[in-house]
Amino acid sequence: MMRQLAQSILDPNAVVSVQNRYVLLTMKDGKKISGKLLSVDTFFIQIFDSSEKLANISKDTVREMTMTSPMPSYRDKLTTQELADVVSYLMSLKGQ
Amino acid sequence: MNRKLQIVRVALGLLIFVAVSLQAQVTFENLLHTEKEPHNWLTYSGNLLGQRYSLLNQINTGNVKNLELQWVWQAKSLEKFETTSLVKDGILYTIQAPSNTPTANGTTQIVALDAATGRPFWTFSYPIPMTASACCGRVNRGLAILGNTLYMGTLDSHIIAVDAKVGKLVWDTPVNPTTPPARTYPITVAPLIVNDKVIVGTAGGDGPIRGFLAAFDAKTGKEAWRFYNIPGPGEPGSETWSGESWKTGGAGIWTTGSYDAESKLTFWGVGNPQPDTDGRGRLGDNLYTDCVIALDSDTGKLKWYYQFTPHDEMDYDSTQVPVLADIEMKGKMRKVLMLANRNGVMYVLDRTNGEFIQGKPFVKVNWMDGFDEKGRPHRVPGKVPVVSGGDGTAIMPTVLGGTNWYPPSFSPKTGLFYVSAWENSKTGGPTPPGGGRGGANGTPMADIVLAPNVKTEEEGYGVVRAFDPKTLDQKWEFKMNDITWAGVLSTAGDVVFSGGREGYFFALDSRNGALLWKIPLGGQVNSGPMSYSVNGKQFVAVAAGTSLFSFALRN
Repeated sequence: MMRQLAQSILDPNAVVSVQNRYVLLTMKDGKKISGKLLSVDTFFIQIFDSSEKLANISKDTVREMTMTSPMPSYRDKLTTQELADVVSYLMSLKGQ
Repeated sequence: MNRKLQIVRVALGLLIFVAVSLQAQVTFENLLHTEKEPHNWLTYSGNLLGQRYSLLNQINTGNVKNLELQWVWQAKSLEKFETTSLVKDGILYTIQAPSNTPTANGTTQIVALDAATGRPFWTFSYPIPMTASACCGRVNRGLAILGNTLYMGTLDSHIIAVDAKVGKLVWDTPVNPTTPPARTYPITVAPLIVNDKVIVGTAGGDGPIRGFLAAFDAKTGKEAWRFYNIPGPGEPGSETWSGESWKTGGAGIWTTGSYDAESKLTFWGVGNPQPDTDGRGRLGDNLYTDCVIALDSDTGKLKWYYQFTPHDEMDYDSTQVPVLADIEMKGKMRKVLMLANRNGVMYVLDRTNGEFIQGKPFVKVNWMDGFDEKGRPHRVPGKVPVVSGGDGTAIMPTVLGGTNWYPPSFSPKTGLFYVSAWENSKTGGPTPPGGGRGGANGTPMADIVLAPNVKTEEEGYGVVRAFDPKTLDQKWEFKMNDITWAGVLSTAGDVVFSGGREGYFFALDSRNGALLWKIPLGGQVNSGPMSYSVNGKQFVAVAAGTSLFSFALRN
C-alpha cells in the first residue's frame, strides 16, 4: 500500500483504477476539454468535465482522446523524507 | 355418368387440398426451400443451413439510412431477450422469457403478433418454477414451426407443441433423463425441424449432467432417438474420460444446429466439459465436448465429429451455429461447414466427412499456435488454468470467448462470413481476480440495461468482422468500444445488421463494413436480427433490453 501511494504521488498516470479515469479531449477546433470519464461507446464520450458539468460529446468532433490524471507529479518536488512523511500521513487517515 | 364422377372426384380433391392447406401451414419442403418464400422467417437461422441470410433486398445500402421504427413489443420480463422470432405469412411468433426475479416463479410465454403492427393475437403461458434455470439466465432463444404447430423447449426440461393458430397446448413431453429429475437439464435452444422430427439439446453443461441431443415425433411428442454427447462405457470415445467422469461431464447443446438435405446429416455444436476450468478429474480429450457432431437425422447415429478444443479447461463451448454452404476452394467445389468458435479460431470442415480443411484465429489467440495434419490444435505450454499447471499469465480469448452463442451470418451473395467477436479479451485463470467469469479485465456477462464502459481498446472491445471462408482472411471489421452479445444478419440488399452491449442497432455495408445507419435502442442487444416482409414491405426486427423492435423504410 505504501509503495502504491508513493507511486501515485510520483507518477499519477502509472496506475489509475478503471473507476477514476480522466480524459483530455482535443477537439477538432483546437479546444481542449478534460474531465472524469463516465462512459465511452462507439459514437459518444460521456464525461463529468472540469467545470462539473455532465457532457455527452460526439466522437465526430474530437481529434484526440488521451487518458491522463489531473493530479500533477511530485517527482523532483519532494525530498525522499518529504515523500515518506506524506505517505505516512496518508496511511494514518481512517475512513469515516 | 363418367363425366359427373370425374367432376365429383375433382371437387373432392380440391376440398381435400384446401383442408390440407389450412392444416399444413408449414411443410418440411417449405423449410428446405426458404429461398422460395423470403417474406417468411421459418427457422432460428432463417434456413436449415444456418446462414441467417435474407433474400429480401427492398432495404439496401442506398436507402437503409431511411429506416424508421414501425413498432415495439415490450415483454413483461426482466430477463435477457435472446429469442429470434419466426414469421409465417404476416404472423410473428416470439417468446417472452420468465422474469429473472429471484423470489418468484414465472412463465415462458409464446406470443403471436401481427408482424406489420406488433399487435398481439394470443399468448400461451407455460409455468416455470424458480428452481428451473440455466447457468446464465432464464433465457429462451426461439421456436420451431412445422405444419400448424410451434415447438419450444423449456427451462424445466420439457419440449412442448403449441397450436400456432390459437395458442393451445398440443403435447408436452419431459426430456430429463434422470428419474426423479435430479439434475438440471434446462432447454434454452430453439428446436430444429428435420422431416417429421423436432430436435433439441439441453443446456446445463456447466453442471454435473450428461448432455444429449434428442429427436421427437412432431405429431405425438414421442421420442424418436437420443444421442448422448458423452459416450458410455464400451462405446467409441469412452476412453477419453477418466474414471466415472463421463457420468457428469457436461456437454450441453444450447445453440441451434443445421441440416444438409443431401446427406441427411444434422450438425450441432457441443458445449464444454465440466468442471469447466479444472480438468484434473476428467483426464483425456473428453469427447464429444467442444465438438461439432454430424448425426444421421433419421436414426441419431454419429457419422463423424471434429473436436475443436480437446480436454478443454477454458470453458470454450462449441455451441455456435454450424453454417453450411457450397464453396469453390482451390478450383474445387467443397461442401463445407463453417464455425467461428468460442476458442477464437474459425474453422472450415468438409461436412460430408468432417475432414479439417483449414482453421485460423479470428481474434487474438494464445492457447494454441497451429494444427497437426488432422486438424488437432497444437497447445501452447502454460496456457491452461493454474490448477492444471498453467503459468498464471493471461489466456486469450477469455472464458467468454472470441465469440459465443450469438449467431453469425453467411451471405451467398458476397461469399463472406460475418461474426460478432470480442478482441483483446483475456482471462487469468479459473477464478480471475475481480472478473468472475468475465475474466481478468472485468469483461461482464450480458445484461438488459445499458452500463457505463470505460475500458480501453487494450482491455477488450467488440467487433463485427467479415471473413472470406476460402482463405479465412479478414476482409473488413467494424469496431465497437464495448463488447457485444449480438448476432449478425446479412441480406441480399448488401446490408449487415448487428448491435451490441452499447445498445445500438446498426447497419453496415456487407462488402466493406462501412456504417450506413444506427439507432440507440436503450438496452443491450442480446439477440440475432432477422428480416421478413408483409404485403411487400420489408421489416428488420431485433430484440434489445426487454423489447422487440421492428424497422422498415419510411413511407
